[in-house]
Amino acid sequence: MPPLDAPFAALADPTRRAILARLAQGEATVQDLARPFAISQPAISRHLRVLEDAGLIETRIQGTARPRRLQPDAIAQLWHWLGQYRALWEDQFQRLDAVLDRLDDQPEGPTP
Amino acid sequence: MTQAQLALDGDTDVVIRRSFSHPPEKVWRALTEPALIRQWLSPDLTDCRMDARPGGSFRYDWPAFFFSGPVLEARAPQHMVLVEHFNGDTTQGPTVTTTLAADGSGTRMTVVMRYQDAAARATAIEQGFTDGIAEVYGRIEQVSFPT
Repeated sequence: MPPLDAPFAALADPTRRAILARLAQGEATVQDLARPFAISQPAISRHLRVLEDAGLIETRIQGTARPRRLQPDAIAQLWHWLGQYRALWEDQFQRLDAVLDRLDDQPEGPTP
Repeated sequence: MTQAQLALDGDTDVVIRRSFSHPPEKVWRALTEPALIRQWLSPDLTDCRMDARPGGSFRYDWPAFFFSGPVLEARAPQHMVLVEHFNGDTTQGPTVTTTLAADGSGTRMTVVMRYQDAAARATAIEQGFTDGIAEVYGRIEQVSFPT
């Protein structure tokens, strides 16, 4: 399975994106996370499991509490992949800009 | 000129948005005339065919691989839908919908690449990145060691 598959699948869900946004402000427990969302703690726990399996968050053990926090390296790596992918497209589009700038001077039809 | 914007939409879509300072008629030509496609798609293209009509097809050849597929819809200068197969594997490949909208004297382009599933999309992003890096390094080598 490609390394980006699980993180992208995890991010496809709006509740999980909202959980990540909340965790970006600092670590939180299941109870903390369930409060702003209109869903049960077990449902939150399932979302957290998906995020953790995807490597996007980690669990810290603190006595009996299990606060979750972002896995910053994973998020940064995901960002890096997407940024590079976007840059490739942009390179192509900048060549396309140049073609468009020249186009007025070019006759229609194929040239080798 | 705005830089290309990239978004992942749902499980299967990659959406690219970009503005150009030329009208849709010109952008359409650059996207559909092989002699023009060759000038921007990749310096490593060895062959380029495009019949941008409904029922038409396209094929872009690199030294070691090719992309090809059917053109499902084409309405110059604003809308094209094609399916992009890698190395002739017709069981896979995204459906690519390109939309050009006039924006003042320029064009707003939206490209939606719809993959079969989330895994196919993730693979495509990784593959595009990996191939792109190889191509860039290949170019640097050519510059460094001219034959």
